[in-house]
Amino acid sequence: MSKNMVYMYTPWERIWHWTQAGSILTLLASGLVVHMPRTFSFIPFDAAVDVHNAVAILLLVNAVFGFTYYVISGSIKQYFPRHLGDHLRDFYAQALYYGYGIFMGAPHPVQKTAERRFNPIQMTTYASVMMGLLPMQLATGVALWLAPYFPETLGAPGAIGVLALLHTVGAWSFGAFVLGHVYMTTTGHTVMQNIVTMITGWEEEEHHDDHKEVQA
Amino acid sequence: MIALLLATGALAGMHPPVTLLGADWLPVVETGAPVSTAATCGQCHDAAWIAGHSYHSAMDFDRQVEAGTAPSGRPWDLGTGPGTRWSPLLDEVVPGMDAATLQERLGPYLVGGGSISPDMEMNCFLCHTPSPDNAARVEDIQGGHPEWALTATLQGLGLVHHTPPDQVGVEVTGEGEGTLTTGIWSYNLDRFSPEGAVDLQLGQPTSENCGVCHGTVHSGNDALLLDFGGRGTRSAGRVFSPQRIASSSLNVAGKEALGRAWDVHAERMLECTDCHYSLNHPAYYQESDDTRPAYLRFDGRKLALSDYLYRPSHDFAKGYSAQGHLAEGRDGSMRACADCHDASATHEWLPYADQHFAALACESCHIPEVYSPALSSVDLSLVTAAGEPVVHWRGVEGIPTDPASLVTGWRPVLLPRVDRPGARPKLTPHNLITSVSWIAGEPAKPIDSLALSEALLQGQGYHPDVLKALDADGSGSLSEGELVLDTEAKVSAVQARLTAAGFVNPTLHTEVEAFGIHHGVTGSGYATKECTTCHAEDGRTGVGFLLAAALPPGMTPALVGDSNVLLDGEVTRTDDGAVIYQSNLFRSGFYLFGQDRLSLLDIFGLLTVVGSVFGLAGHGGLRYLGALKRRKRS
Repeated sequence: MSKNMVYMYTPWERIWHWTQAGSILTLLASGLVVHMPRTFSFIPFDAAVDVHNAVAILLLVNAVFGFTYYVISGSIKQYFPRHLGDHLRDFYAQALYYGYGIFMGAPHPVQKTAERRFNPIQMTTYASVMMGLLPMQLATGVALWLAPYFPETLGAPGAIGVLALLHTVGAWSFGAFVLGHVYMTTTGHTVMQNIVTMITGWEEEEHHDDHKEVQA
Repeated sequence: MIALLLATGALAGMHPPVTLLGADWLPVVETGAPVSTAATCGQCHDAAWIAGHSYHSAMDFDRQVEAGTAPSGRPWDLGTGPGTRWSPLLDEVVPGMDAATLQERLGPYLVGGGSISPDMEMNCFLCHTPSPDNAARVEDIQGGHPEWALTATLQGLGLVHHTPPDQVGVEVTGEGEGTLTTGIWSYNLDRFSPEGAVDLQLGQPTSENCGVCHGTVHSGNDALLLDFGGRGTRSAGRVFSPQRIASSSLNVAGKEALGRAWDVHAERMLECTDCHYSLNHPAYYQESDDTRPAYLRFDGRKLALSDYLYRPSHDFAKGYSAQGHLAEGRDGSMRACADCHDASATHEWLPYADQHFAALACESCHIPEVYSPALSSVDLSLVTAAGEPVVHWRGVEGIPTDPASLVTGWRPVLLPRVDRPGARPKLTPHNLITSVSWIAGEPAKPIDSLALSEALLQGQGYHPDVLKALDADGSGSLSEGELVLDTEAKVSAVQARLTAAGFVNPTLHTEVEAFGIHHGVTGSGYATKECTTCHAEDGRTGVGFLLAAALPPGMTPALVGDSNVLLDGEVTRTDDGAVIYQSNLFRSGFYLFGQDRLSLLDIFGLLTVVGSVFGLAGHGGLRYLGALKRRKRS
């Protein structure tokens, strides 16, 4: 086993990530207050609405920034598998690892590199979140925000209810995702390694001979 | 200048003295005949035209329809007016009643001049004199002397007095030296000029004039007394007064903190006629946006004052009714709140103002509470020992007319309301009044309290069959708690009694009517401003609204068909038998953040999150145990 330091995340990627993380957590918390004001009556309803709106704008700007950056830098390729067959095979291996190997101390089945940072399960999950859940949540949120200005369409009776329910589905999904995401950060070589990497950008890479290295 | 005076009502008192004429166009001081407004007022005004342009006179009695086709959907209704539409809440008019009974039941509200009251000319004095004697007028209508009702009204001005019974019909001729006594009323000749003219102090109707029929109107320093004979107060707790509630003589709970006026519009010295004006009043009338050409901002063509005074339309501007279609051709003719108030100038603090304005009527926040009792339910399945319906009130502990009763006030229920076809529903405050009636006969019609009394009462008490079924404590009389058909056995007993009394196939019918709350408006200081008043799990539309303290078993009141409100919620019963309406605004297309939610979705979402926590904790625990094991092994 050899060790070397790999520069995994650029400052822009880290800023994007932590901004998104903070925004989503704040939105979940403020959204919960808006959803159940009496349960969280220690936080004023109108303040929660204001915070929710302001942070939503931050998240939207960050999402646009992130998407632009990922497209221009080519990093968006990180979210797409090269070969579907390999991806499915590695997905199975990764699932087997999370379901069994990780308890036995087995090495990660897929080697993380700067060019291929996500294992197949991460890739599938993040692609679903970034290109499905997040856009849906942003779209329904923006639609709710714009509803007063489009009373015949977005603000029409019934429309807001549907938008709000979709937004609630998204919120619960984000809640579950955040929990899983935070937990999965502990599955690095050490419990804190992945978080430290996302702060510093550098990752201490472990190389096992029996690792399958993801080719960039 | 005259226009200004006209608009402000300052012309009151400027009307010249009038010679009161009888139907024969001769001065009544000479003939002793009843006053005829067609002749008296017709000297200068087109009285016939005025009576023909007044829904107050017509009451839609001339717009009767075939039974079963009325907008209410009730098989027994014959129209939309008080004389053709069953009203269990006030006068118990059963459509199809004979003219005499109809006149007796509707007497307090008949203004005359329409086909509903053919023996009575339009009573101009009732609305245009400062102190009409309504009691005397009603007494004559109900006593079979409708031709004298107009004259009786003038007792309030001290112009007439009751003729002593032994002098009725005696003709005495005199020249200003006594009273002519040809009828049941005599003229006080000393109040008339030698030419027979008299100053009636005629002018624009004051709010007090409107209050004679419509409910409690109060001004001045006298004690405010609630008038539950007025439809508005009875059905919606309407009080139009500039007095501050804290200063009121009424025993209102917590009134020390209620520094607001009963109605801010009254406080700002508006009269009823300022909003409910004559539709051809040159100072008020403005053509509707619906009919005015889009390019025309202002139409300078106005009725000349002389033309207006000759033919002032007595079809008054009105809004939309939550229940019923009386004079629906005039619906929406009144200027709405936003036509006078620029809400955007004073609601900068309100988040999503446009959304709130689109979804809420102004009254929703500006009438947060009603501080006068109003009807909750009228139960005509039984009668009290006095032959009255069993009536329940909301907003009061005790008898509402008793000044010692504590007025607790009540919060109107916000219901989605569609005022005109295609309009967006708006949440508007309402009272819901539930009624229970017996329906019998062929064709089926409601049984009013008079007929019910004849069947259920005997002598000074109840019929033995009724007493046997309902007198739970064996006291020989029925207490308030016993006056309810809350079991099948009690229903059957009363049903059998009605059948024995000759009613064919009596069955119980229950319904609920909605009454909009548009008066009792408060200004910004007492209006709802706190978000969580509505946006909360227990927000205003989330709590139930009492429909009835009890209803016969298995009965659920349905909304009468001619309402423009949406009752999309559920009617439930509490353990103690009370019937509650629980809103479900989501079904009407509303979504209130903080209150509306799909419980199933939240449960599923919560299970997902909690499941994730447990799943991840289990996974982490196994990882930890595995690591411990490996460490021991190594």
